[in-house]
Amino acid sequence: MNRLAILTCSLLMLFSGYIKGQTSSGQVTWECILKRKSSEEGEISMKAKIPAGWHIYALGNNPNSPIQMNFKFLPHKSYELIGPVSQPQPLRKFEKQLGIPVTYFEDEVTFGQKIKIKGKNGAINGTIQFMQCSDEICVPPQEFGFALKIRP
Amino acid sequence: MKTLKDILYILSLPLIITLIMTAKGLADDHKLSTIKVDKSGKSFAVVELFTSEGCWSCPPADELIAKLEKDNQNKKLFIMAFHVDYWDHQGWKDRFSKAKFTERQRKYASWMKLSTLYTPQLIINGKVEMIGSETSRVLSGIHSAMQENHPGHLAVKINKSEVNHVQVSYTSTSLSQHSTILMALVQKQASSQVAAGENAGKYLSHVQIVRELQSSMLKAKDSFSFELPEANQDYEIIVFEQNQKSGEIVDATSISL
Repeated sequence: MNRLAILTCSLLMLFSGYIKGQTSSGQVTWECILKRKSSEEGEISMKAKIPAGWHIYALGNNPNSPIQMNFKFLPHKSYELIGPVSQPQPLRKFEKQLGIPVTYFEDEVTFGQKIKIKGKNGAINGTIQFMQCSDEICVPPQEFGFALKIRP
Repeated sequence: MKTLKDILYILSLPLIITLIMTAKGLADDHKLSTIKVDKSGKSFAVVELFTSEGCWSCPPADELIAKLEKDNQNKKLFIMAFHVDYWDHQGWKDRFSKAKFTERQRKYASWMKLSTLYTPQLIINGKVEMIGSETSRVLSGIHSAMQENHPGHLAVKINKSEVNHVQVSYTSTSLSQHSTILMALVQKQASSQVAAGENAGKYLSHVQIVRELQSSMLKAKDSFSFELPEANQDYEIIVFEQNQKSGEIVDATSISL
């Protein structure tokens, strides 16, 4: 392998390392849909797209810490929640400053909430409270609201 | 020997990087000591750090201002740490946080046209903002601020000083139409005990914590009263004039209690 190639490779690695070190100003976005399994069963599927360099927190972190992550659904006669919100296996690290382990997600994550459908028509109004942080900064807790229709 | 040359060739790059980083570190140390030298000229640097005990990316920023404050001889370097309240919730609260401080950070976001708040955020003289843990940028920013010239209009004195109550007055010869005078009651040091987790029982320490912030329209003279929240602590009052249209801080002084 000639020297120019080696030098170019090293420079590229350096450059990409530098780029990774920058905090992008990325906003976490959510996509929420209702998956219909049968006339009586459904699942609310909530997908977060997390820009590179950022992460959001998983459910189940210590409630006596500043971390806030929760899902709220407005009760309606057309549906009923079955069980808690489910999530895939999160990443885990020990947060020195808080002195506790924290669980989180990067890149993309889909949360699910099973429901029983009780009416032909209805609406599901949900609010997701989440926090996004990079390695350097944290943005205040945000709330994302969504509405889904139940149709026959 | 061809292999040896190749090895040296590859090593040269990491070596250069290490040298650059060392030089940068030394430059930062030099800036830090230059900033802390006694100054009595017509410049100042008002450093505001928006932080929180609950923000786990904040310790490097908190440590940086602690470094600036330690053995500081520069009487024109004013440091204030505002603890924001947006990490507070039922299960957890930063005891120094106040809604008023989050409001102040929001005001800066509006002045500087920022799309979001974040911690740790550091603002110098109400004009430039940066991530509070970016040491080089913070030191350069303070260093630049200390090179600027500002006519000093502000003088402050203590009218009344009791165990838990103090009255401070100022006089100003400023003719600005758009200014507000702000007074911050700053607690020099504090520590909080960590309640939960593996660090339970350990202490988090902070410097230059703003316990209260009062403001009113600029007058030729006026006075403010403060209740001291904790006895047996060192406090100082930092007084500054801020342009309400741009957010720029145009004058500042302080007095120890």
